[in-house]
Amino acid sequence: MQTSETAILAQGVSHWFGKGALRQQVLFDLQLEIAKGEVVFLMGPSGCGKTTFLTLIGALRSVMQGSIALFGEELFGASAAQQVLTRRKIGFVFQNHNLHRSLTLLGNVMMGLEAKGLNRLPDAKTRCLAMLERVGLQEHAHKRQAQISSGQRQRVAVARALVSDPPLVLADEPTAALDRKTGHDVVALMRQIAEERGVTVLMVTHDNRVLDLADRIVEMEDGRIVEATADPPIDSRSLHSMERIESE
Amino acid sequence: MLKRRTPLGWLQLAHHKSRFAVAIAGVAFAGILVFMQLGFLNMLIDTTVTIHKKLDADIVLVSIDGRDMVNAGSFPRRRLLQALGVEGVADVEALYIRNVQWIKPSDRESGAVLVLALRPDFPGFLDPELNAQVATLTLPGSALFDVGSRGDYTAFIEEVAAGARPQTEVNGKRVTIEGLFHFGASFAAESILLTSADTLGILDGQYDAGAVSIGLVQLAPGYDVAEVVAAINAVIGDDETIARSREDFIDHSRSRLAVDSPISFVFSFGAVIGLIVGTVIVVQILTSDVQDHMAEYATFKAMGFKTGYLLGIVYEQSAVLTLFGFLPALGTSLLLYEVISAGVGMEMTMTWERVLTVLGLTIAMCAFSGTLAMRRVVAADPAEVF
Repeated sequence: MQTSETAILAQGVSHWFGKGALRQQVLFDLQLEIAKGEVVFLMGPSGCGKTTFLTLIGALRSVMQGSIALFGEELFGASAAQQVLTRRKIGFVFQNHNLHRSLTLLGNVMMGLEAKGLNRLPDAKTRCLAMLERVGLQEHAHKRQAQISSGQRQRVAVARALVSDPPLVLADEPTAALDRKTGHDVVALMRQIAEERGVTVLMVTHDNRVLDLADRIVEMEDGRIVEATADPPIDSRSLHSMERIESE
Repeated sequence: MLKRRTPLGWLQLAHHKSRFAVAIAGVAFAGILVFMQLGFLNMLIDTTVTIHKKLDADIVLVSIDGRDMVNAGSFPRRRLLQALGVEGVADVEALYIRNVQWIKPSDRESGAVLVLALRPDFPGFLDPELNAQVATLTLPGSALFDVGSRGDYTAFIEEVAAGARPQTEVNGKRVTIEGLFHFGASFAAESILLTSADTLGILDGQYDAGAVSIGLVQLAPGYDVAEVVAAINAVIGDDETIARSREDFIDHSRSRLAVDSPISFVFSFGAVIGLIVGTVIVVQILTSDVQDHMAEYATFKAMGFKTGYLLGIVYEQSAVLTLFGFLPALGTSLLLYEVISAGVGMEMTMTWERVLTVLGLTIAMCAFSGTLAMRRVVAADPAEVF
């Protein structure tokens, strides 16, 4: 049930691809509620529908059946223009960072503000530089993506997603192209900044190495939610605790 | 402080320098081709009316069959006398035009020369100095030579300018060059001689003083040209002779060439080919650029940018290519105009009207190319980036 503390509420969501005889159902009656500030990982084997579910929540596709409400705002029946407005309230982190090649890192982060019309603010540049500093890349602000590593690029993508202070971040396999440590560092950083700012995070992943960073894990299989774990697995949680002790 | 949108179109083009250079070259090539075609066309048309513009006449009488100065045709001299009787006409005079053979003083080879002949004491030209020179052509066999003639006449001109009176042959008759004037060559006439009607009678065995090429009519002050033209045409009552105002005479000659001959089509077709080639190049470049940035465009859509913002990127690229391609095209064309003018001995001039025309065509070409390229941008699906 939708409350003032609910960030995402999905009820009875089903989805199909194709038309006519080729029409195929990929999501079946999904129910999911995520509270504000919660960090939730959506897991499952390839093709189980987790990315499709994420694109519906991100207003990147139209909801065919069921209801998805973001902070009380219903997406079912939303027009294309309303979907664009909804997307402006969301920070996106993609598997392939998709940084713009001809822009500097600062320019890429600035696009995160420009998408929301916030680049006109007097402190826009300062804000972007502060965010780059937050992800440890301020000294690289005027470099282009070709001059930095994959992990650094994904950090820039995190900065771009969070610079406008969105209430929700949707991430799709952000660690897929990264090695174990780098991937863990990037997600840890994203979680840390989200915690600081009270941002809700929904991340699609099948990377077991970062499970310790989730508040909750939702498992999907064949287009259905099969399990919602309140706490991450013991071994992952141990790793997370160890890192927290180290950082303290 | 307001901040403008990030100039992504420019940044994307500048990021791929070789591709940018090819695109600029494509736009510039199209621009140069259009400038040259229009330049040739206008040179052809403009030089056709060079002599028209020099004549001091409010109204002219011409043969209805006349095509240009070289083929002006003729009409009966009595029509001029009829015109003289119309109220408002102050003076009339006959201008005779013949295209005859002569021995070119430059290389002593035989060639064609256009001879303009009139009564020496009639001020038939707008330039008073020229009228004064013509007034001296009272001796039979004397003539003035056009320094704008096509060919290497440098030594000959220097000789005349130094006061010498060199002689040459026109239709086998001896002619003394008494002085110089400047009209300029045209496609139809390489060289021009100015002489008296009496001298033309000596030089051309077929000369007939009763068959006038162009009738020059000067009005008394205060009379309306259009009204007098109408009055003259009413008096003449002739299907073969017509009176025109000076401006109408010039416009009619220009439009006859521009509209009624295939010349305009030929040169315009060349310009269109240039635009097509330019369009193909720009479409290729912009399409490649859009294709290369599809993931980024889809990402931008996912982030909340509207499709219109992304189309703006492509239009911005079109505008950048227009600017960067047009300026070198203009500069190169100005240089080529100079080279061609010197090479053919005819004025090939750039006009603001032509600059704006080609700029407009370049903008249209780039905008059209951008419109073709941006179909892919519209198709970019933000859901596909996941």
